[in-house]
Order: sequence, then C-alpha cells, then structure tokens
Amino acid sequence: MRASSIIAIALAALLAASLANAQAGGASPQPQIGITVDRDTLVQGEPFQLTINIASQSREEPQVKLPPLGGLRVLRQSESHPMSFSFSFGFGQQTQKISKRQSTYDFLVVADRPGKYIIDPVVVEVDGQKYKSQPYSLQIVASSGGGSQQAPPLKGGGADPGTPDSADQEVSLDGAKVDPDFFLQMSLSKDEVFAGEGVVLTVYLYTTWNLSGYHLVREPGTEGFWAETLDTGNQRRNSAVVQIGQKSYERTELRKLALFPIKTGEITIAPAIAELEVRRGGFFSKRKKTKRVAEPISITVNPIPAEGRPAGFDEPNVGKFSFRSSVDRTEVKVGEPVTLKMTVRGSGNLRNISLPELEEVKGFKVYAPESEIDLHARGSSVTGTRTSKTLMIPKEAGTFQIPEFTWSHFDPDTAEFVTRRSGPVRIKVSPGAEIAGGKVQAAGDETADDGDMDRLNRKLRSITSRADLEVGSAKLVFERPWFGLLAILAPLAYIGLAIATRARRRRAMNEMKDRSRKADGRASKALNDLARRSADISSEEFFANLERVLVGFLEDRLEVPVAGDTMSELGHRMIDRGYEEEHASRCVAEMEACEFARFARGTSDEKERQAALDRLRSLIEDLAGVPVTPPEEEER
Amino acid sequence: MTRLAAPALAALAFALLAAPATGSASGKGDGASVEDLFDKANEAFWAGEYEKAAQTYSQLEELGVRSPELSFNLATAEARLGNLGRAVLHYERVLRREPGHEDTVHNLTTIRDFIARRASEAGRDADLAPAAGPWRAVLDRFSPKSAAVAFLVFHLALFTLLIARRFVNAEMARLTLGVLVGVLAVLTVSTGSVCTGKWDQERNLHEGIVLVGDTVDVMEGPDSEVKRFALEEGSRIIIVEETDGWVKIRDDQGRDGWTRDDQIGEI
Repeated sequence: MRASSIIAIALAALLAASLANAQAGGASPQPQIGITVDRDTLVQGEPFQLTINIASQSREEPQVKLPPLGGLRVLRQSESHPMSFSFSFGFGQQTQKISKRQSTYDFLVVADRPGKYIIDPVVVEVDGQKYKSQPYSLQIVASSGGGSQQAPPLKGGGADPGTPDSADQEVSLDGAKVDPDFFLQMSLSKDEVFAGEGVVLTVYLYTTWNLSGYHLVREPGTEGFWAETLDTGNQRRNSAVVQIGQKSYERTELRKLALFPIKTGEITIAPAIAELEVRRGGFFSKRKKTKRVAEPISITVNPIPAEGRPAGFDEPNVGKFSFRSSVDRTEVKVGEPVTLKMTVRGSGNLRNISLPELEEVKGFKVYAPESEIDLHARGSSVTGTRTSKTLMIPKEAGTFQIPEFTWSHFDPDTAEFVTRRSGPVRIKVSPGAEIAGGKVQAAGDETADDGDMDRLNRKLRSITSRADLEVGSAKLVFERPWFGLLAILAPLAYIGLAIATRARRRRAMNEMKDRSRKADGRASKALNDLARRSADISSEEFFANLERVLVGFLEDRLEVPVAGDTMSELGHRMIDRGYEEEHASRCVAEMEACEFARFARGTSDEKERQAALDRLRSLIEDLAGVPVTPPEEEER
Repeated sequence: MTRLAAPALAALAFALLAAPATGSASGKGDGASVEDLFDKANEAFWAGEYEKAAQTYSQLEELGVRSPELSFNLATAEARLGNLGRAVLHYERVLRREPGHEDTVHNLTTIRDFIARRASEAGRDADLAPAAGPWRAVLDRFSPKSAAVAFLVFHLALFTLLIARRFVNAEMARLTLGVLVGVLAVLTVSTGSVCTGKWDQERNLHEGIVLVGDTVDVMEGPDSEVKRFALEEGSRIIIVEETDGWVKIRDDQGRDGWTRDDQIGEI
C-alpha cells in the first residue's frame, strides 16, 4: 500500500515536470494559415468570398498582418474568432498559460480585370517568432457578359461590360448621378400612373467600397402623394451585386415607399440625401463621412377617366380590391345588437378608400361605424384589409332588410371601373321581454327623434384625451393672494421711492437753511481768527483767507456754490436772490481788492489789513440783514 | 443701497407669500388617481357607455378638479345622452374659463341650432343665447386668466417705467418714457377694467341654463300653478333669487318668474 502510493506520486511528478519542461523550454507550435475562395472558377466582375483562416497556440496574443489583396476590390469584410480558449498547467511559479485561437477573416472581393492575381503571404507573429504563409495565387477568367445582376435602366453610355474601351465611358442611371465609388438612386416602379394608383419608390445606395455605416439624412420628397412606408428601417436591408458599365456595385435598399398620387400632372420627387461612413483600407483604417444626393425623378399622373364612372364612385378607391358585407346574425331579439361588417381586401390606398354608409334601417337604431385597417407591405405594393363595423340595435319586432350595398373602384391595370355588390340581408327580430303594446323600446332609446339626435351627435366634435387636471380651489387668478401682492407691489415701490427722494431733498434743504442762518456767525468767527493770525501770515495768505471768508459766507447764504462764478455772475446771482445792487457791488469790490492785494508786490501793513477786516465785517453785517429768496428747486 | 433695500424686502416677502399660494393652486393632489379616473371616463365614452363616462367626469368635478377639457368631455357625454341642457351648461362653463375654445364653440353652436330647429318645428320661438351688449361682448372675449396676466404685465411695466423716469435726466429719454408711460397707463386701465368686470361677473352675475326639456314652465311664484311663460332647454337666464327649492329667474326679455331649482344649472 505504502509502496504503491509512492510510485503513483513519483509518476505524477515526473509527468508534470516533463510537460512543464516541454512547454517552457520548447518553442510554440507553428500556426496554421489557410487561404481559400468559395468557388472553383473565378470570373471577372463576379464577387467571390476569400477567407483567411489562422489557427495558433501561444502564450501571448498572436499578431496577424494581413497582406494587401493584390488588386482585388473589397466589397465587404468581416472578422471572427470562432474558437479561443486557454489552459494552465504546472505549479507555483512554474505555471504556464497556453491559449489556443482560431481567427477567420472573410472578404467579399471582386476582380475588375481577368488575369492572375497574387496575394502576398500572411504574416503571423507568435510568442516573438514570425511565421509566413505561402503566397496565394488566383486565376480570374474574363467575363462572358452574364453573371451578376444588371442594374436598372442605363442611360448614356450603354456600356458593354468587359469591353476595355467602355472603362472610361460615362454611364448614367435614372434618378442617380453615377459615381465610381458610391452614389444614391431613386427609382420608381412606374413612370406613369393614374391618380390614386400605387407606385413604389425605392432609394438605393450603390457602393464599390466597404461602408461602415449609412443612413438617410433627408427622405425623398413625397409632396403630392399619400405615402406608406414599405420597410421598417430596422429590418435587414436587401442588397445585391449589380453590374454598371464595367464596374460591380453592391446595391442596398435604403428606403421603400408606396406612393399614391393625390394630384394629377407631372410630379417631381425631391431627392433623398444619405450620409455614408467610408473606411478605406483595412480593419484599422480611419472612417470618413461623406454625403451623396440622388437625382430628382418625375412621374406623370393621369386623371381617372370621366367616362364610365359609376354613381357613388369615390376618387381614392383606386386599386385591385374585393368587397363583401355581412352581419354577425340574422335572427335576434329586440334590443340585441347586430353588427354589420363591410370588408375591402386587396392592394391600393386602403387607408383612404371610402366604404358605403348605412344611413337608416327601418326598425333599427344605427350607430356610427368604426373602422379597422390591417396593412402589409408585400413585395412592391401595399395590401391588406379595411373593415367597417356598424352596430345596429333592433327597436321593434319583425323582419327587416338591410339593403344591398354597391361599391365601385377603379382598376388601374385594366383602366376600368369595377362595381361590386353585396347583400341584401334579411334580419328577423323577435319580441324581447320588454314588449309593450306592440311597440318595443330598446335600451337607451327615449325619444322618437333618435335619428335627429344621432345626426346631431355625429356633428359634434368628440372628447379630448389630454387635459391639464388641476385640483384646487375655483378661485380666479385675480382672487389669488399673489395677484394682489404683485399688483400692489409696483405702486408701493414707486410711492416709497418718491417719499424717500422727497425726504432726502428736504433734509438737504434744512441743512442749507441751517448753514444760512449761521452764516454771519461763522464768518465773524473766521474773521476774528484771521485777525489773530494776521501778524504771523503773509499778505498773500491773509487776503486769500479774507476772500475765502467772503465766498464761504455768500455760499452759506445763497445755498449754492459761487466759487466758480465770475464777478459779473456773482453780482447777478446776488441781485436775483434779493440783495440790492449796492450789496453786490460792494461784494465784487471787496473780492477784487483781495485779489489785487494778494498779487500786488510788497507787503501790506497792519493798518491796511485791519481796514480790510473792518470793511468785510461791515459788509457781512449788512448782508446778513438782507432776507434771501430760496434757491429754485428742480421738481420731478 | 438703502434705496434698494425696501423693494428687495418687499420682493422677498412676496416670494415667501406667493410660493405656497401658487403651489396649492397648481398642486395635483392625488394626481395619479385623478388622471386614472379621467382615462377611465374617456374609455367608457369610447365604449359608448356615456352615462358611466358622464358620472365619472362629474365625480372628478366633485373632487375639485378644474379643467376646461374635463368640462368639455362632460358636456359631450351629456350631449350623447341627449341631455342637451346639461351639455349647454358645461360648454358654457368651458367658455367662461376659455373664451373662444374652438371645439366648444362648434359644439355649442351645433346644439343650439338643433334646439332652435326643434323648437321651430314645434311652432315655438327660441332665442337661446341672446345678443350681448358691447361691454359683455368685450368681457366674453377674455378669460379671467388672460385678463389678469395682461393687466399685471402692463401694470408692472407702467410702474417700472415711472421709476426709471425718476433716474433719467436726458430730455429726449424722459419724453420717450413719458409717451410710453401714457400708453401703458391706458392699457393698464383698460385691462384693469376688464379684470374688474370679469370679477364682478363671477361674483355677482348668476347666470343659469335651463337643464331639462324640451321646455320648462316659468311660474308666477314658488309653488304657484300659474304659468307666466316657458323657456326652451338650453336657454341662458339670470338667476335673481333662490329659495327653498325654487329659483327666481329673468330671461333676456326682462321677464321674471319662478321655476324649480333642479331645472336650472348655474354656469
């Protein structure tokens, strides 16, 4: 027992060590690189699939370098990794992680010219070592003219595919401006239709490049048509390879619409615009956005013939239809509902067609019909069913007849009017439980003028399903508190501002009056002070101060600044405010004397200064006794 | 700064007072159930169950829901039930709140034409909505809300310009502001008058609609058996007095009389 355990452990250790050594010490196995094509004979202009398969086993991610495809034009490419898994073995620091991978690169390519094409080797770098495949050669045989699908009607250069001369020949398509790389085309299933007849408009994208994205930024114009979309925009796009001139394009349906003309004459459909994302080069090349505009196309819409029109024919009833009417039961009791169903099936503008109306049926109350539509985009037309259901309640017992219905439509394929008939239907109404004196009143019937009421109700506009449901008081806006507050706030603000302005002005006036009252006292004090300092200051300073005292006195009395006034202005201002001319003249004379003494050469003696002081005291005393009128206020 | 303090404080006070007021006015309360009820009523209408629809719409009104659309739907459900007087009443209520509501005007005119034709076929005269005077015509063109908003806008603009004018010295600018103030003053007074008129209409003008039909007899007095005149279903009248299950009404020709209060609905 003990010996066998030891042998088992030893064998396991030996196996692990040998495996670890083999993996750690040995190089990674050479990757397998395969290049294949999906057909035996490769024909010029016919797209084929080229696949590059790489299977590798390595510690690190292998680096793959794909070669240029030797002059082949790539229509579409994709990359997949169907297998990728890792496993580890060993212990502790000896643990090795090995990954096995398989990668597939698919290219839908086309060769524009016959001949031999060489695809350079694929290079794969595995754990630091580079491996190359063999170059791959392809033999392309010349096209015999058939093969790929032909594009819709060519214009201009008819293009004989495969003819070297036609390579540069200009090719044009209806509804498209042909571009060597990519372009849009609008195509109509018919060029000439009757009014109301369906026609299919398809917007195609043609491309010779690999596009990473595309979408319509402007839909084709549908003015003058009733339009139904035949694609959902999300479904897988229909695409095919078509040959235009010498080039193969991949053609993809971007939009498919059923159009029903609602006016006659020539109608031009405004062009669609698509935005394309183009990737030139390999997987890692940059994307570039570009726009392509289709060419506008026109359609001739003929009026529906006037001859042979059946009575009651309605213009939108154009198409291929069947018509039938039925009731869900033919024997009922009074008050039990009967549903009359009218069905139109077929292809055409089912949404807009009109069905016969059931006006009145004797013995029945007839409600307004309800309509149901079930539409399908089938191929290049709109098909479906339009059903009208009318609820009828029998009001009295008896046998009644729903009249025959006739319904006419115009078949654009045969250019003939078709009239379909259905009915009549007899309904047997047996008495209900509520019978009273021969005449029975059905539920909900109250008056004899139900017909009138029904007509009235049909005229009334129906209820709305959207409402701003406000729960609250029934107060009017101007009864709400905020309204009053807002209304009173503005005048209050204005009144407050006016009061504040007036108060500020009054305060300023009072201050001025106060200064005026105290003007002579302040001037006397200033003069006494000047007299005391007279001996210590220069003549210039003395007379400057003397003049300042007089100016200050006048400003206090007049309550306006006068320092900037000329002598003449000062004189006039004083007279205007109530002083006599003599007072004004004396003031002006004193100020001139001060000016003169200030700037005269030499110094003035004590006597002269004293005399000037006395004169000014006397002048201020005289001026103080004169009442002054208040300054003019600027009222606002 | 002190000059600005007073208006700033006033604005703050207004904001504090106005916030709860507007909040309660527009508050949706138990909004989900109200909307559910409205949807339920609409579904009943579409299913042809007009009575159920009308009951649910009325229930919403009793819950305090105010909405022109709700009144419109209730009116339309009543019309489908053949209750034309009630339909007219609720359509009139819509027009009080939203004059010119297109669908309401259409339906009201259609119903009045119908009633007038019915009356004429029965040999009766019916003038269900007599022509209003010029002032009433002006008032009927404005909803209370639009009148109030217009007044507030002009009023605030007027005082803003008046305040601005106090700070402007340039003669030309003062003149321009003066002209604008004059225009705004006229507009403020006009819209203020409309507001006052609407308020007076709401508070003091008790108009009613004859609910039942085809005609309602108007008596000499409460419990009287002496008929004075008859009114057509959907006729607009003025409610003068109410007492003990009876209302005194006045028609557009100035005739007074009494009728039972359940035959009249106040707009």
